[in-house]
Amino acid sequence: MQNWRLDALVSAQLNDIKLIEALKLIQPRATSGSLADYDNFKFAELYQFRKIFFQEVDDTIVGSEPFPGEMLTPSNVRVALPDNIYQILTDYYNNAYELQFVTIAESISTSSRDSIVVPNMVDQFGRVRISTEVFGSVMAPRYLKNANVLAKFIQNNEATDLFPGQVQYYFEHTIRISGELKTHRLAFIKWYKPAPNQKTRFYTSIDSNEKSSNIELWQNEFYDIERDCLIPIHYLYSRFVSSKFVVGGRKPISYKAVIPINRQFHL
Amino acid sequence: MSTKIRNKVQCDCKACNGKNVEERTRKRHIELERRLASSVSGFIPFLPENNRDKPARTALEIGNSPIAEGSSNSKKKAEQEESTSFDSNYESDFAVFVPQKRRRQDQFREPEFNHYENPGDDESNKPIDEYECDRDISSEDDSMVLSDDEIPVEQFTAPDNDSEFKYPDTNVNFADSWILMWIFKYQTRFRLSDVAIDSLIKFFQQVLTDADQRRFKDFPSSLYTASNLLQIGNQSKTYAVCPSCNTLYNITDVVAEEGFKCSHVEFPMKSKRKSCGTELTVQVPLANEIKRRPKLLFPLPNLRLQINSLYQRSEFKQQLRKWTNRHVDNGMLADIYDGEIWKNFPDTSDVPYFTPETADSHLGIMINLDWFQPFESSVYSCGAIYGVICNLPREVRFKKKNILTLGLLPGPKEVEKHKINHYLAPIVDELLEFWNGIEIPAAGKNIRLALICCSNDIPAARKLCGHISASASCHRCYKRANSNGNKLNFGGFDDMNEWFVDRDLEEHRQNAVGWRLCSSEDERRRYVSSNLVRWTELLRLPYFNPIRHLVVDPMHCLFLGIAHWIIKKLWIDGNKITKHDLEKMEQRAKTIQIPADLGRVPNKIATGEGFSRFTADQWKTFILIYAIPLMWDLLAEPDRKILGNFVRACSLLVCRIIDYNILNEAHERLLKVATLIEENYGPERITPNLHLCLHIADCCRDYGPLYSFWCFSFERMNGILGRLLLCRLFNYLSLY
Repeated sequence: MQNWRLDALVSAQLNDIKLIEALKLIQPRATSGSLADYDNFKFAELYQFRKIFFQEVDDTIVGSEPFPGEMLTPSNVRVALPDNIYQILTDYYNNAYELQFVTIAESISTSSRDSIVVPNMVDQFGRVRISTEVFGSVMAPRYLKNANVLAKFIQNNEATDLFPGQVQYYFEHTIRISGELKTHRLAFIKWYKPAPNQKTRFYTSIDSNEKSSNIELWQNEFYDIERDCLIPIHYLYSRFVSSKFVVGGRKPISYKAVIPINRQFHL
Repeated sequence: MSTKIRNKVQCDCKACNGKNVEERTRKRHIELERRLASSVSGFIPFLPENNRDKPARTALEIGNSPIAEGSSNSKKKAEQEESTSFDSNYESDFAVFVPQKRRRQDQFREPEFNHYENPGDDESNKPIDEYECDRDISSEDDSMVLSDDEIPVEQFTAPDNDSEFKYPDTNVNFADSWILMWIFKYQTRFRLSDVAIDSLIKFFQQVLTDADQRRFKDFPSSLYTASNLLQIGNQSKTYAVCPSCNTLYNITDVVAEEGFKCSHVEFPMKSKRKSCGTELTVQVPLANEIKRRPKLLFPLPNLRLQINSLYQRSEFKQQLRKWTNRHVDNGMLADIYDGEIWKNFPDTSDVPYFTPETADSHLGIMINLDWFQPFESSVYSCGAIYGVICNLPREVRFKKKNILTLGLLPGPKEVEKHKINHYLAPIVDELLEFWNGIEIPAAGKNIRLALICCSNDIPAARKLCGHISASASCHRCYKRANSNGNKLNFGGFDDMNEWFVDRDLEEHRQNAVGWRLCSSEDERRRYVSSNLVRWTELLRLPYFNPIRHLVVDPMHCLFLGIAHWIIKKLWIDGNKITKHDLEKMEQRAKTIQIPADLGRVPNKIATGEGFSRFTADQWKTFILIYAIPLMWDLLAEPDRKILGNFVRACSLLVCRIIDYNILNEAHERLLKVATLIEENYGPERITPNLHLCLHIADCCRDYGPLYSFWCFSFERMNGILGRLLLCRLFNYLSLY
């Protein structure tokens, strides 16, 4: 809704520098929820990205692939990872690439020529924006509500399942692999433990059909930190809302209800 | 002569449906249907040869009355007519539609209509002026009326404007016009009132003349002179409107004579033609004279101008072409381009209309009609028709600067039923011209426009496309409301295979034309309740399908309709959820923390009757996130099933990218909800919305995911327009 005549006049005078400069003063501020971010991306790239978070690609995703978005503040530039995470990161690289990676400590003892030493300096970020959505983390307390994420994992029996977790922080890690500097964007996530049985997990299902339940119940505790806690940010499937859910009348046990939010990603 | 008793004969036309009428009337009806058949593609006239035994019988009864000859005459004509109307593709329809601008001015038949009548008939070659012919006496002549405008049915045509349309010159003869442009842009950006801008311009003038007396001596001294200088403000054609029957008139005609009265005749086929007769003007006392002003105005923003100014943007053409670079396959629906309609929209010669080659010249628009209340403290409701160019990528499609305004319907009340046709007529004229292609200077080529979708709330949809009220019948399938009990309802899903079939377009067109033949208010009412349709001007668009192109709006249907209704009417009013439960829910809702970009649900769930003043978006959030954790243990088994199925269906449908499997599951779940409600609460609880939601899956197959066609995207525009109205930024609408 605007004055079309005025628009016509303005676009006829777009070579007037004075007008262009002046119009910049009243440009509406860009909002983070804007869909305009898609502009820089080709359809094929977006399509590939969507396939990744649906786990429809066969290649291993290492975390250095392009993604439609950016890392956001708060950030800590060049910080050292704690030892346990550093060890996991090395394991992560060993899984992701068919090469041998070692920590600095290991490199002294083994002195193998082929192994690549993983530096332990990373850039830490509190948030990441992927297309129009901002994923938060524990590191950015104001965005704690956005830190609950779901990710798809392929289980031993080839079935994929969604797991809820809480992002602790995101980080960018740069490493030289076969002569090429690569930046990997990873998320450090603590995963929630599942409910004791399937019946409790799909408590709100109807006609005992597990698929019919929109929400699932999980325990309020985390798994121990292990290798799975690092995933490429490409694998973040969606955010979820958590709420308390009490099951049972006589001996009520409270669980965490996981309510997925539809991904705001479009092609 | 009029008191003479005549023989009655059977009339087979749609309006009379075999009733006995006077011979003269029957003949007129036959003639009329024949004419309508030529103006509406595919209309099958109910002429004697359609059921051959009846006219034979009538002819016997009457013997050798002279009129029998007439009917055989028209029979011959009709045969010819059928041969032309049936193989008529869109091309031949154009021959009927296109030249109407000129045609309406002269009452004489034009050569291209020759093939529509019998060349051997001397009578029919005589041009007849509708207003001069005396219907009471002439029985032969009035059956021979020829061109469209002389059909004795209610006309919904806008008067012609004599002024030829010109694209305004973008050269402003003023060196420092950029200052003024910036000020006007500033006004629209911050939505300032005219008064504020007026003083700003005055201040600028003072400052500038103080700085350089000579250079800025021409700087305008007020808003009025400034807008005259830039020629801002004359951007829409404005009609005067009759407040009671909504006929459009040229303002100059109306103001010219004192006490101009509306001359619109609603039922011209009646022998006693009664015109509306409402006075159109009011006297406005000015300082030294009294001026006449129309009571009501209808501003019709110029579509050409809007399209032209869109094309003036450098990036516009590129944006239009963007959709051709996407290749979505394996049944995924990510945008409107993946739907059936976009893929298969037929051009005049059965080739696809939307092709990569024509991506920046063949536009498809989706329209939305909505009524809204611009003022807070007074009851005044005005309507707006918006258009969205679907060729644009989704991220910019619904941006304010890309939305076309097709018309602004004046208040103070919503337009009644078919009277909206008066407003639609000039819009349809414009759309017809655009379907043929209009040369747009900024684009440098012919631009074509097709109306591919109407997305409205239910009442507006019914008016726009001429369907009967949603509580009586569905507009997409053959389901009609049952009237067992004292309330209409859509219960009964056992025989779903019988009625869950798409309505027939040809049948709809015929019935709509038949409606125009009705000669009284009562007859129209009876006709609508048996045939379920009214005439709508949109039917003049040869490609338009008022059944398939009119989508069920998911926002109104699912969230404002069903969600609201189940929780409030079914559960709160049915005492399944007590006041105490509501308070418990409120407590629980407070503990749920949801991300800021989702829009929180108000904390006060229990206040008032419960869920008071929830908006569509809040209902959406409530259903998708809050509903199950809040209500699961408060509900009994069948209600849990209803809730579970509904929540699942909604969360499936609200995905930004959907596929056929998702659609099928969502459809099953919605059907389950409806059958469960029928089982547990009785068939009288099946509301129109519960029926209409069954069509949402079909709409998605036609138009892609909900995000591409639901009304959320349009509702925002009403807020913007309302605020503009409040600060009179629009000089469009004069309110009476």
